[in-house]
Amino acid sequence: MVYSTFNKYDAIPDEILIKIFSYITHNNLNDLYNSLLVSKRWNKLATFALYNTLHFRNVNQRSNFFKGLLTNNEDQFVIEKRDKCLDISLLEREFCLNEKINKQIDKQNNDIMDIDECDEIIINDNPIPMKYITSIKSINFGLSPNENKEMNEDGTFNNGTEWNQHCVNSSLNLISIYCPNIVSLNLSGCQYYDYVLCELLENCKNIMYLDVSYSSIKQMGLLAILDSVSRTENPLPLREINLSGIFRFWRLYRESRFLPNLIRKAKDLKKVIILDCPDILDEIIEECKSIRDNVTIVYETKTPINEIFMKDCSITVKSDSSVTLASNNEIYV
Amino acid sequence: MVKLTSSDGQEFTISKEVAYQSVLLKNMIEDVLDSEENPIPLPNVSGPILVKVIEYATHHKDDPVKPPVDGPRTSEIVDEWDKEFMNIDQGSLYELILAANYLDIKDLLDLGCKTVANMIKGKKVEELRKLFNIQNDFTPEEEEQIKKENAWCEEH
Repeated sequence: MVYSTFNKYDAIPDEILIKIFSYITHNNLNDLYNSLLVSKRWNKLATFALYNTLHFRNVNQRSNFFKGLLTNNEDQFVIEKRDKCLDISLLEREFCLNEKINKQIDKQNNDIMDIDECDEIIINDNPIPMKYITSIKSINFGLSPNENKEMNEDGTFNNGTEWNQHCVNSSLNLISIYCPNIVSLNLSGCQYYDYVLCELLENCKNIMYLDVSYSSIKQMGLLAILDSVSRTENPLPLREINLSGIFRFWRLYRESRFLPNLIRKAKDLKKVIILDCPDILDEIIEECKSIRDNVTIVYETKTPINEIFMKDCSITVKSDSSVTLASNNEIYV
Repeated sequence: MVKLTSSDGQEFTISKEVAYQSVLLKNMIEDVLDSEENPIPLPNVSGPILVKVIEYATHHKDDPVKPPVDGPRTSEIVDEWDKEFMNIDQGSLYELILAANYLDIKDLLDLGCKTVANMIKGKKVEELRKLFNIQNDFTPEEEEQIKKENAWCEEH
């Protein structure tokens, strides 16, 4: 049905086109790449959408992007920082495996083997301009379990990425160097060393949204978050944090009272998401809620693992233990 | 009830419930007491488009307030009614987006943007220019430059 003869997209304001392009960045970067080439106006707006919120769809994109950062030699200050902080062994492990192997095969063919030369960074010829790099505000590695809609029969997820592709150590190292101004970082489902995250939290002082759900974060990383929001100079202006799927809260509660302290010390905190955290006890949540009323805590009510364990234990003690063991067919150690 | 006048002078009477889907109308109604008597003029929205907007607002008037979406925003349109509703010609689509923007109806604006994003999906550069009636204003050198700078996000 034709409702009007109006047929000019020109009337669509810039901010709406940016909104449209930002939907595309979450779909497929190839579509956005094509949009960049349509016209000057599209280029300007799609560039903004692309670099404002980086969302990697696969490991090749990620590796090409970070290599594009490494080859940028525009800014002397950044070069110095790179020379000082870049961890080449992490870089090799995360990105250059294939090239390294190819290189070795090439060399083998030429009968010159020199593995020691591998700490030379392999680069491509397309540096990403600094004007794009500095406009990056948000980075999402796209490995979140929520994004993987395809579920296998056994309940595991399959997004076509190998487990080692979840490793983002070098990416985090490079973000610390090149993108200290990001405000949002999504590490959901990622694997990284805690010390790399610590470094990042020291360098990126503007992070407001942090998602470490279902990631490999351990005690040291969580405590680094706590440290960075409580430091006297430039405390992290953390507004929202997603800690879903992390299993160490009971220990962290005993030893450092992580969650209550985080809420107490992060002055800007508005929202904490703690779904799928089986060892967060109701009493911890109650305590957290009582600290400040302007913080939203997203959690599900369910019996924590400790209590399930305790309950079954007490039943076992009361009744005849051999019968209970036989009927449960389970042994708690 | 609330009365509205479109840019081409057509008058519409809708319930407050429906009108409240639009933040602009909600504010206007709350500020002006007798909107039942004096129609609210909408000089930026034509009659046929206002019909569409009212159709959308009426269909969604009982929707629960949605919490802001966490996680990635994809352009997938889940609601079948919405999908069918957006099955309109391109000119109307642009006008509908502009109307949603002007009237401040967030869900309709999102829906419109998703629809356009889906139109862009999988198209080549030339196809995009043709579809949106855009002239190529790049020199070949500029085009080369853009390709180089953004080479990392191209998938083959």
